[in-house]
Amino acid sequence: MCAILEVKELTKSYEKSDFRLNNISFTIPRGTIMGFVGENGAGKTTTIGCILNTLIKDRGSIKIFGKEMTDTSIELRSDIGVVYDSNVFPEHLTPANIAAGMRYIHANWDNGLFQEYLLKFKLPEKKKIKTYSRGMTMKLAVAVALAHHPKLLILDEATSGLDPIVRDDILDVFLDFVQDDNNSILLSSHITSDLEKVADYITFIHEGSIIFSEKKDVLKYNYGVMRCKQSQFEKIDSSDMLAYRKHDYQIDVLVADKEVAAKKYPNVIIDHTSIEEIMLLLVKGVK
Amino acid sequence: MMSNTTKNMSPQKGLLIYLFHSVIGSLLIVLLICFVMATALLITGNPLVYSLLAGIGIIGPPYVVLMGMGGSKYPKWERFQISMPIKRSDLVTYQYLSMALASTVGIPFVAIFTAIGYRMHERLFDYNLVTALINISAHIAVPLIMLGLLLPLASTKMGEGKEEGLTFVCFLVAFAIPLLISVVGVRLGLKEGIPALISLALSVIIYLVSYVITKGLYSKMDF
Repeated sequence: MCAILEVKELTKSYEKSDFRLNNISFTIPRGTIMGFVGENGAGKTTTIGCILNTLIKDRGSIKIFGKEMTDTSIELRSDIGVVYDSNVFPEHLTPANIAAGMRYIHANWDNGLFQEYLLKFKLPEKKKIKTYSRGMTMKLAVAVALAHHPKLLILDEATSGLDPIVRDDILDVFLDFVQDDNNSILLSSHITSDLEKVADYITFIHEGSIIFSEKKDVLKYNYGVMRCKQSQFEKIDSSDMLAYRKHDYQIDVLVADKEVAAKKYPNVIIDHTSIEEIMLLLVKGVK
Repeated sequence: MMSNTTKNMSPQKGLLIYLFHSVIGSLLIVLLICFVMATALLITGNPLVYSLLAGIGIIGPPYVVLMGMGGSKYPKWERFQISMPIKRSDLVTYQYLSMALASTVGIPFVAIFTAIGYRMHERLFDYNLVTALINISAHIAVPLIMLGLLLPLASTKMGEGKEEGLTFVCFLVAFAIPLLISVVGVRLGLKEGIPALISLALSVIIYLVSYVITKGLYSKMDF
């Protein structure tokens, strides 16, 4: 399957910070949703900033639709829709004002589609954004991002801080969007339940490095957590462990293939795991 | 879903629409103040009122536009603009053109009322109308020098988060330079209007150099 976004050995550092994005690489196939997960400060926004050209990368390559993304790649950026974690528009503007400007900025701006999203999300067109609730501003951002027919949607914590109803509305729109096999989404979030619901792939970033980039189903059906006692833990081959974490009466061990582990260690309980638990074990556990 | 796709690509026009909505309220207030000043000028023929009219009418609009452009007030909006299909250099061009336009927009207004005032009150100035119009035009030097200094400084690491303080300092410098040129002009016995023309020429040079520098800085900036 052809990749819609290909990030290769991307590196970015800041003068006033120790944080560094370390040679990160991942790809998003067409027609899929990539969940981009990591704790606050892990490097999600920096990665997205480099993809969108708001941050200047130190090294590496970012290819969108097979073409290198540069400042002059206007056509490439026309095919990208962006939603940030909060309102980006000046608050005195109305959706009608926004549409009036966007039609000159995006070659494919579709005012009819924008109006339909306003209706769908019940957003008053003539009211100033400052009168909107947080959920409404995020819905407006989604409407703006989708109304120019992008092929790649980049969402930087777009669902954070929203109530479950609004989150669900927005996630449904994202699922609709990827019904077209040519469209893809990079969904950065630390709300792992959202990712479990919609993502096809999960890329996990921690302290500026990619820990894994894997199909969600592989994580869901292959990964497992062994709940061990100390005596059981001591018998586990270290090459079978991705990470482990000691609790008071139990040691949790993350394994990449729970069926193989079940055969090899028949006396140990092995549970299904969630993205959140995988994240916690990889970040807080011992590797 | 129905499609109503447009193909008019002119990102700077789109940004100007946002800018217009951002500043129209404040510009109307400036316009109202100018009308009050102009009326007072016509009634009284007081040169001090003329100076205030020229100052507010010419320096007011670029100041309002500068505030409406966002910067520190709307950092996320600035970041969002960079992510849109617009080259960074085009964004700088849009900023400088908007500011230049805002700096010149008040000149005809002030010039018209000055000319009327000159006809109504013979002793409005000690000099002739042409010199008065040159002096009016030279007021543009203040916003051009101010913006010419401010825009590149605000684009450096040193200027991050200090836009308000920088604006004040740049305004003082921009006000002082034409004043200094005027004082030196009088001392040197230059013909009336010549110091104003020198200020005008200098401000245009500063503005153009500033444009080139800001373009270079903007191309390497993180937002």
